[in-house]
Amino acid sequence: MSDTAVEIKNLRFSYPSRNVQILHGIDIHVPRGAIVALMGGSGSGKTTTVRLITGQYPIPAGSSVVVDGEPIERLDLAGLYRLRLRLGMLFQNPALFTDLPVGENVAFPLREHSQLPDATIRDLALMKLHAVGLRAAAARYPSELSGGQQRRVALARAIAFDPKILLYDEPFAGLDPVSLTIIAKLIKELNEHLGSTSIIITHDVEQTFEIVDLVYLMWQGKVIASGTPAEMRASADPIVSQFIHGSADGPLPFHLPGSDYRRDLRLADAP
Amino acid sequence: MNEGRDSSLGRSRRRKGVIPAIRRLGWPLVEKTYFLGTFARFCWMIAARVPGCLKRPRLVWVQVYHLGTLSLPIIIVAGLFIGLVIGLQFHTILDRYGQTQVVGAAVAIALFRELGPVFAGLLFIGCSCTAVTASIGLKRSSEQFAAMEVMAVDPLEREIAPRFVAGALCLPLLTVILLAVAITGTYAIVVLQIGMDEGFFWGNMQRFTKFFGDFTEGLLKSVVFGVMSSAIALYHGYSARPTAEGVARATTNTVVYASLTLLGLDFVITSLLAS
Ligand SMILES: Nc1ncnc2c1ncn2[C@@H]1O[C@H](COP(=O)(O)OP(=O)(O)O)[C@@H](O)[C@H]1O
Ligand SMILES: [Mg+2]
Repeated sequence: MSDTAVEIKNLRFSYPSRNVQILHGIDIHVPRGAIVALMGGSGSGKTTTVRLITGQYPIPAGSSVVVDGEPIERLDLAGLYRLRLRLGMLFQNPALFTDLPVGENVAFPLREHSQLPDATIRDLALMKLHAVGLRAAAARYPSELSGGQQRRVALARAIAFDPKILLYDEPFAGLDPVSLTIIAKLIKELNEHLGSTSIIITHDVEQTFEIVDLVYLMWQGKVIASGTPAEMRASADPIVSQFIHGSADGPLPFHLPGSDYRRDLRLADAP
Repeated sequence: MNEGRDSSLGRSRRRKGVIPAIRRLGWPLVEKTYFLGTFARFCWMIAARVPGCLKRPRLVWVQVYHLGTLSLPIIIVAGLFIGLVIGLQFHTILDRYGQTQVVGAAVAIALFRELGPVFAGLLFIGCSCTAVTASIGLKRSSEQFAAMEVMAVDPLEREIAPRFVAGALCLPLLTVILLAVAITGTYAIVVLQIGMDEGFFWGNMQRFTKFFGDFTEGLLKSVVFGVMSSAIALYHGYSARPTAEGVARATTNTVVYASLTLLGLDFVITSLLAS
């Protein structure tokens, strides 16, 4: 067994529906058992990267994504589905099944893939919900929960099958400070108890740096910096320090690249 | 980056000239052909998954229940009015020829062969198929299908195929219900209201209406309509653009395409069986 959970090499990608390159050759190495943070501005391609790790889009030629020892680009559909049984993913939006109650949402992967008796599945689902503090909401529908609560349900669903590799797309968004601390602790504990590997997309520098082993900083489709939290904090790179401190001034652009502002406003002295 | 010059932000202007004109002519054709191709492929993908989903009949029954209950009230009310109106009309027409004793049979034949399956089909499209398109479109746009795929569950088998089978089962059932209610409506107007002899009404209906021929033709139609309208509804939901407008448009398209196809197929089946 190799000590690498996810190995991404020279990943370039553009969505089939839009002819714009989103990822410009990124390299990411995720050691087994580690918690790795993927950080960076919104629209920089983090969600796209984890979508490709789970094989939701075909990997273009020349790029390689190896997950748990299996090169995604060479797997057929059956192989991909077998690999996905070892993955758990928390979606950014959080993609709960709106026609199922919360408890059934969490039980869904168990019902689909295990032959366990109904009562056991129900108990397991309740235990996962308890871990995210929402056992009392098991009978409610996702639309009756707040955004942060839905995210916690999605988290319970992602861990329902005790996966080897966990992908969390913005697990902390919309959480109050107390929930945030609890969920961060939960992610850390899961990693230790299940022996799994986690990739977290997040914007919360303080909370993330406390639990992760490695940080990758992405900007506009490229990895612009990486290292341990301590290395990132100590980094003299103006880009890294601007991101960590969230300052407005610095080399990182806030605006989407485009035409000249003054020309868009049709000012007389526009170039 | 030149698009920004237009004062309308992001809206492209219609180009003039010969080549763009030809392009505008040809594009709808290409689009329609493309639509037929993707629709055929989609149908094939569902068909391949029907055996798998039949292994889990519970999923199908849940959908039969949903789709059926959506259309049932309107099917019953509509059936009653159709029966009342057809009974009244046929009685008026047959009265001119002094043939009112066969009104029961005439109404039954018209309902079984034509009106029952077509009305039930159109109502089913309006009530259940639109709901299918909207819910599939929303599930897809909120990444629920992507979430399923990442959990190694095939959404086509788990969500689409059961709805397809359920639609194909539901419409014949609803058609039979509509027929029964409509006949009751005719009975109410012709026998109870106008005062025709009850024995004549039921007796002639039994004598002149054929189970094989009249009833089976209608049943065959309703099965074909059920298969067709569920496939169209699912296709439009599944291929809807992941926005509110996209789903709205897909729902409209379901009604338009499914209704027109239903009426066209109705003619085709009738003429095939008549020859
Ligand atoms: N399904 C999609 N189709 C086309 N473009 C997309 C899609 N999803 C995201 N994008 C584009 O890809 C870029 C990166 O998006 P994303 O990976 O979601 O960023 P992040 O998660 O880092 O905020 C954005 O510019 C976005 O507009
Ligand atoms: Mg994102």
